[in-house]
Amino acid sequence: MTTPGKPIVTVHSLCKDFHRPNGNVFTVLEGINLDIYDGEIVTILGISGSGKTTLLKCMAGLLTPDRGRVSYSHQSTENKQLLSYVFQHFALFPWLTVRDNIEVAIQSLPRKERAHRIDDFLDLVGLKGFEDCYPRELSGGMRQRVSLCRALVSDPMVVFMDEPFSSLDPLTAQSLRSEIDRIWLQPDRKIRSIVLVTHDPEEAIMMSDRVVILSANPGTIYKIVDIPLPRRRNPNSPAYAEIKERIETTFGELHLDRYLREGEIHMPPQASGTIATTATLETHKTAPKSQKTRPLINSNLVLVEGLLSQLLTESGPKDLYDLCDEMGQSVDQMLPTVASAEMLGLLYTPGTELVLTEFGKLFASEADSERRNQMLREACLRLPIIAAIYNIVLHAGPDGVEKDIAIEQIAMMIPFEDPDVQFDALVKWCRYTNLIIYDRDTEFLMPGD
Amino acid sequence: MDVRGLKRIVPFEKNKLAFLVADLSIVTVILVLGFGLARFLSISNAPFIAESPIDTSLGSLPVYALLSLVRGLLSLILSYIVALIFGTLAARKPTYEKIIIPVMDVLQCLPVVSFMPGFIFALTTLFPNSRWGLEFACILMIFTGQAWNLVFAYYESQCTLSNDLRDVSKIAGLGAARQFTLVDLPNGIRPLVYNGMMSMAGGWFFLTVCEAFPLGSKNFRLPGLGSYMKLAFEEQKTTSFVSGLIVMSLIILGLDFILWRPLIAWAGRFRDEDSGEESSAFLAILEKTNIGPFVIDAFKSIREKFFPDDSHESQSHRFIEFAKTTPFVKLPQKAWVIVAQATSQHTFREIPWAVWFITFGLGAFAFNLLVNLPSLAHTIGQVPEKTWIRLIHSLFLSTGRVVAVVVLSTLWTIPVGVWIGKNPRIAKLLQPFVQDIAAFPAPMIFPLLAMILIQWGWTPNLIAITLMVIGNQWYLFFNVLSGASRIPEDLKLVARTYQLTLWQRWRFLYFPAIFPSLVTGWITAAGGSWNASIVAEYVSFPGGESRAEGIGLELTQASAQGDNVTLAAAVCVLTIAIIVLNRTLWRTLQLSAERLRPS
Repeated sequence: MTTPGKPIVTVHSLCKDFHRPNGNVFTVLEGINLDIYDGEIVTILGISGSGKTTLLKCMAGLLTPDRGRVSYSHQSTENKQLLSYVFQHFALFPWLTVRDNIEVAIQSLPRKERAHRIDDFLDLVGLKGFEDCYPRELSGGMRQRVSLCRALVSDPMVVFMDEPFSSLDPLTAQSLRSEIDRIWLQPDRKIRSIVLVTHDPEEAIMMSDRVVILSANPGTIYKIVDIPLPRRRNPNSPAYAEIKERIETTFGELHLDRYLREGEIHMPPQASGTIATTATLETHKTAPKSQKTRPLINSNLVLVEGLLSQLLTESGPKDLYDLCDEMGQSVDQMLPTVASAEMLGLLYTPGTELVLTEFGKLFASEADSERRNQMLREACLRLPIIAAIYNIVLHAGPDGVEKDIAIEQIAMMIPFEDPDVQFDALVKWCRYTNLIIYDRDTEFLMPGD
Repeated sequence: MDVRGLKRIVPFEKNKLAFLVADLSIVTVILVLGFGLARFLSISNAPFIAESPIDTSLGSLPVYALLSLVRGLLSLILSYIVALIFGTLAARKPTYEKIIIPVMDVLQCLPVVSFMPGFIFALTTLFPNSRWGLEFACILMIFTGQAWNLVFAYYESQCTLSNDLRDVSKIAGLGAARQFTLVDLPNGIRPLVYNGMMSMAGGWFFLTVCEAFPLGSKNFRLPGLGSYMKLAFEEQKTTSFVSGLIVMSLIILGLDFILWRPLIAWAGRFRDEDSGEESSAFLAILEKTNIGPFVIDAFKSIREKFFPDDSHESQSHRFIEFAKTTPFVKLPQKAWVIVAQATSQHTFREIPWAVWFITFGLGAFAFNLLVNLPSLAHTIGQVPEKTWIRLIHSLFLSTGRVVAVVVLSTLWTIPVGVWIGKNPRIAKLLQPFVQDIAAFPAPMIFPLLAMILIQWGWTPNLIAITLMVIGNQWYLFFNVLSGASRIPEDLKLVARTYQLTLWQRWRFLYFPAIFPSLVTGWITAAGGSWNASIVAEYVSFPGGESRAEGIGLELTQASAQGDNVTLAAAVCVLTIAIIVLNRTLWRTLQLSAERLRPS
């Protein structure tokens, strides 16, 4: 990285809590310390639920942190605005023309200068001729250009972008990315820095000088990776590949290996078949049992089954990122599924490799759906939360158990998680495996048949 | 590039004849309205006469019609202002929301006579020597038929504004005024326009009641179409009565053509998606005229002169600075600062002065009301037990009628509404006609209908139900229609593929699909029926009357006899009934409808 300039934005031990309407509180962001320096593009990378958008909104002053603070350096006179923000879904006023939409950002300037500026910036992002159109008449890519234009027209000191390309098709996204690159490289650029949020590691490497990787639940800064590559980056260069490898590994170890390190792979009981444990698992069997109960992952078990049958067709271990490429899915779509499978003891993940456990192989090759279901049930019941709730429901009698009782139990076992999300995940898994049935109208849990 | 985008800048076709026609029609509209307003002002400035003489000859009809039109439009403006204020308050602050929304729910169902004595007493005391008091009271009464659904519409639009757009205005640092004109108002324009159309119909509904009514020992009457019709019917002047009906229809059609269609077409630009465009002949005329650009240019040049090349921010800033120097603002503000400092309450000081200004104004108004009305508790205490029992008895009778109205309307609207809704072409053809029929104030012909039905030997009870159905079936019809027209084409195909029987189709497709709209329709129709009970349960006509025991009759009688004690008691009984119904039956239905709504 180039020598850091002065800090433009300083985030100091920031925490953000989320209050549910029913009174539950959980922490989204915990102890974030971050400096954004003059002249750099910083990416905040994290899976969904890691609070990356919350962090960005706190930095932009759209949300007030519960603890800690965000401070900005003094803006110079050439910046007409301290900061601006690009939204994922454009956030253009449907009742204003393109010109009027952009004008919203520079209300404080004299009328003549406003018109002048808007013309300049429309030119810059290639929107000339569309001034009097309404947003609904434009394509997604054009709308995001308008949104970008609105964010740049005031020459803000810092621009915040919240997944600006994720609702666009890949080609449009690519063209907009190089557009931003081009604007960033202009010699008379007045913007001091850009902070960008994304879930796509590739995008982070393409765009930024530093990548801040967030962990989830609660969101904390896990690692910051510098990208000292010149702009207009070539994805085929060895330096690029090396950084990509590093970020992907970090990303993987953050979300997958955690479970392995904590030694929480639960071995299926001998009763369900002949199990030959692999060497990897053997070493972890001796690791101390975790004191902490692990939270459930809000994912679909049908995807887990799909993942397993896909892995069964592979000859050997499969890299997570290769698999994502082949399936045409982004890593953050795939991660919850992989983590769930790992949690259920169906696979394990050395690095970013995916390896089926014996139990996983057995499960994936089982043809009888009733036996498959039985295996999945057993795997689920090995998870402390599901086991606890299942016991309560089983002994409750014919009327079942109120949702609130289950939520309380969850909150007791994993106090730092959002109990409502955990409950939803629990219901999803239990309904799929037919352990517990949940009636949404009466809000009662009942044992499955 | 899209042609529509260019529309604003490309000069319109230079057809001289078209220009002439366009300009002439605009001038005519302006002249007619201006004449009406002038007439309204001169009449209102006239010395106070409780019962204005009405000339039932044909020649005076246009003037009366114009007077009523001006009243309706003025109260509509008032309704819009109220909707903007209370809708915003309810959407912004949860504490206000908890108060405003339930209160509006009840107000929506209270018949106009419940407000009548209060308005009349307060305003005739405020303006003892001119007719302004009566005029204002009349406008306020029309207003009670218009305002509430506008408040709801604006409130809902504010609640559904996306957080992102709110954030954009926060980032851009928009001031309150800019936030309102750029974000809040445009976001609410479409619901405000669509509901304004309904409101106008609601305002006309009680025109005959609002313009001529007995109160205590006195008869009050204002010159207008409603009182004209009433008198023409009593004097059995058939020609005048029929031409009154025609003029009423013409006003409705004219408003539709000159006001609502252009507004709807214009509001189309505020929509989110590119789906269907409404057209308006009058808007096309408007766009052709020289007058619009002329006015805009004049306005612009004035602005340029006084605020040469300046941002909007500083303009409004200058205005505020100027306003702050006037004693109107200065004195209350100073007083408030002193009070706030004395109590050292930070929260109070943060509230903008404008809010306090309005609060003081309303407070003064309420104070005036209170002086003229005995206190509520005192009033209620005077009601004898026998009256309570009678009131509760009539409440149940009226409730029975309301239920009957809902059931009867449902019986015909579901099949017809679904049939029309399924055929978009028929729907498109019929909708404007039905809309205009629905906008016609049914109570104008209630006396006539009652007279005919009595001769057929119908009981007053049946007559009351019939009249209520005639007035309120439309709410249900429109809701069913819109619900049915939104049934996805795919689902209809599924029904055909599996060759569902008629019963199965209703059971699995049509009924669940229209149920949410049906519930909304039921609630509105029931509310409207409570309202209409005052004109349906007691109808008088030359040579007889139709009296059906019920809460509407009680209300009408109490207010006509000036029996404020019974009136207050009846309003209390009705309010409680409405609250109970809202909280139990309607709430349950709304919740179950919510489950059927596709997420």
